[in-house]
Amino acid sequence: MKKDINQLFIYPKTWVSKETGDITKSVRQWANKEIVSRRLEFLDDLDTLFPKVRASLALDIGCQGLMFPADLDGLGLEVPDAAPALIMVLKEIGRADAGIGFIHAMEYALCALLTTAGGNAFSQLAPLFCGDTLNSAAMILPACGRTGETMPLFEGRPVAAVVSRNGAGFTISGWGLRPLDLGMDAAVFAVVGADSDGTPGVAVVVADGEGVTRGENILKTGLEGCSNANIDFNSVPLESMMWFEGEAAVRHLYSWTNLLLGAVSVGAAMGCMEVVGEWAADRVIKGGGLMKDNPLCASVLAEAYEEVALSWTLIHHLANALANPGEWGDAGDLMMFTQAQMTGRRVQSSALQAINKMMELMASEGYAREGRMEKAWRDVKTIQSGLCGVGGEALIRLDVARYVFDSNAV
Amino acid sequence: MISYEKMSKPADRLSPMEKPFRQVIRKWTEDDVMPYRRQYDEDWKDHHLIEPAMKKLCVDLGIQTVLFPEELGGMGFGSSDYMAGLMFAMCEEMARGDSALALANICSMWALCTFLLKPNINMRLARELAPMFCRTDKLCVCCQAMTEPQGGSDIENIDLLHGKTIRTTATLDGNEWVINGHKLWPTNSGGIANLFGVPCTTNPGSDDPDDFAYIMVPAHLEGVKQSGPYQKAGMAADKNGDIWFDNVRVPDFYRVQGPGKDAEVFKGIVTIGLLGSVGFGMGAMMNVYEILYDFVNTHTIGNRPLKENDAVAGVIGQIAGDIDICRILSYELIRLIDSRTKVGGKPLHSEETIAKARNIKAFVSDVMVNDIGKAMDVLGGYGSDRAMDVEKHWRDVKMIQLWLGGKQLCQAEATRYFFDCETI
Repeated sequence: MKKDINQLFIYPKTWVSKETGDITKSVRQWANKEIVSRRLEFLDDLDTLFPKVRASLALDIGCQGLMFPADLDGLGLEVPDAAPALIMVLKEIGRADAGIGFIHAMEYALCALLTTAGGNAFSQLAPLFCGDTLNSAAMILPACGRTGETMPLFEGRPVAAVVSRNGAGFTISGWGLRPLDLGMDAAVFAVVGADSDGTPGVAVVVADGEGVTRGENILKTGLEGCSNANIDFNSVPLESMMWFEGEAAVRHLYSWTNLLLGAVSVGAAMGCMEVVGEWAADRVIKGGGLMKDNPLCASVLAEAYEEVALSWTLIHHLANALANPGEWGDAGDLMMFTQAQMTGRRVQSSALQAINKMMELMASEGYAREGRMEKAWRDVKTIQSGLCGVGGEALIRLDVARYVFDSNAV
Repeated sequence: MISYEKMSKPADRLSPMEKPFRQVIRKWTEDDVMPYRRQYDEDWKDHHLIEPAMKKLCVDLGIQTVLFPEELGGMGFGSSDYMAGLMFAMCEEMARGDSALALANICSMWALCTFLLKPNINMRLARELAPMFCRTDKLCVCCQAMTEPQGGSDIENIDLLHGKTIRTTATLDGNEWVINGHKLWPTNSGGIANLFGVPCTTNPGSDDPDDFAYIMVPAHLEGVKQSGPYQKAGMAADKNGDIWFDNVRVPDFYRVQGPGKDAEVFKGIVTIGLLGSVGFGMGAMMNVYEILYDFVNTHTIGNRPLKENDAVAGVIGQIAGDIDICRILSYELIRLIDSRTKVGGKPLHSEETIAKARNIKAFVSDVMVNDIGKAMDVLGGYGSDRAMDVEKHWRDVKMIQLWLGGKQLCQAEATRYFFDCETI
């Protein structure tokens, strides 16, 4: 493509500060240098290069610990104000590699939750995220039950982890819990659990203690570089500040996760646009013309762009709403949860749809590793189906119906 | 687990052989493919697990002989009135386990269709090549070496381009054809093919159908070179690579039909390829239905089985309904193909047959990509887990949608027929 990809997607620039522009620029330079300009090398030697490339972003640029306070050696981006900055950063990372984007999105969603508890929560985790070693956070959302079991529910979704009071603190137990990803790697887990009354909340569990057991590595569709495993918690102690009690905390986690993973997937789709743009400008079809000049193929290219551009607009809209809780409410409010679920569903679906269309144009080349597109397709699908949760998009639609139409459907 | 026998099929139009034939393939799929398929992704390069399964099917069960006439040691499907129905049954049963393995097996027969299907059976060539496939204990893999680096699906678009973009050449020298060219990506390349079916031109740049040639080329001949396989998003049991023909000499009677007729049979086997594509997709969807059936019965939302939640029920009901509709369309395609030599039937290369086959393939492809994606979503975080097997089908069926010119060529060929287009 002759045009700069960054000039093709309109968003309100007034929502993005100069500081955000600077860090976004640094991340873009990292993306171009470390991955985009040598994507095949990156893909061919992913096991070796993934941690190296990730370290240069996380530790050298400082994207790990980005949201930790400066006095704890973080970069001090604070939510909710930083929502537009976070999506710009994650879009750039996602454009390079959705797996690395996913890792950072998980950390930032955790940090957004910690913000609601104040500085002490950050102090506890700062040694993990503001030092010189790579660390990550995993998220365990409600999933499903087994026939015959009765479980506490969050908006109809079974909550498998149980949090019990233990003196001044709490313990958490749960077996066979499935993180969105990173179960094998994570230093910290944000776990949706329920207390003895069945009230859901979010527990933040540091994974270095006794009672945390990781299962076998789970082979999966995408997000190579991130290793997942089922997790058992056997009466793992929690500091009281690490139990975020109540449904609002769970909604808060969902809202931010939808925003942040949305930015990653849109970024991945933008990366695919660059790839298909090069392909269409060079590929001769029907014995003569360039693919980009064929009206049918041009229409498909335009459809893909529409999906990506509109998704980016939606993500900015959600970021702005979350950054201004005085206008429509906090991330834990039902209204914002509904908007975030709806936006997240649509954005993930659109990003995947766009990549699907671009793959169609590249045919077998789109399907081959050397075509530099199929990884993003697998990554976005992994994010999308995980974020839907068991039951799929149907449950997200029920979230919307409950809020908008006072439906009692679960 | 539920059987997919609930899905529609026209019992009054099936071959008496179909049921026992399906049972044989089904047993192979369940014994030799399903227990190992989760390891196929890691086996993409070496085929340590994949090749023994192919050998059992093709050699021990004799599937590599099916198209050859019975007098040459084959099963005679090539002259059967039920050829398409039986081929479809094979595709569906195999792809239920692994669509790439189904593809590798079926594509091995695909090029043979140019000279083994009635009414175009070339007995001289059949006799010549039968020993490679019949009455042997060796696996013989055939590859339709169609696509070229510069043209992608242009070769399949023969009604518009008439072969004028083909760069692989065939020059007659005495009683031998001399082949030169470079082919890319066909199934069963990447080093495993024993025999190639090669579309080429006897007059580069010509759009005269007489100059289109389809020539069988044994892989062991001097001048044939194959690359290793490409790594892909899925379809690990199907190896794809480059093939170079450098002054390769074959007897003149290895040209399957002759001037004019080669172009016709080539167009016809594109229709067979579309049938296979539909069969692979159906097999994958059948297995996804089985897995989904089990999951929604044993897992809960809101403390009720998933299938009893009205909203989820709407989604899974739609998936099952789509599969059933695609099954009905599949048998319509079978009818079109198997009626090719009957009164009222149309030849495989007719514009009508090709356009309708393209439509059905495009429709089924879109449905399977969409619905298997939805099935993954119903499984939530478990959807991307390879242990559930749904994601494997999701990755595999995308390839089915993309090949043979993908959706756009399907649209173009349908439009050309239904709207009498001249430049599309």
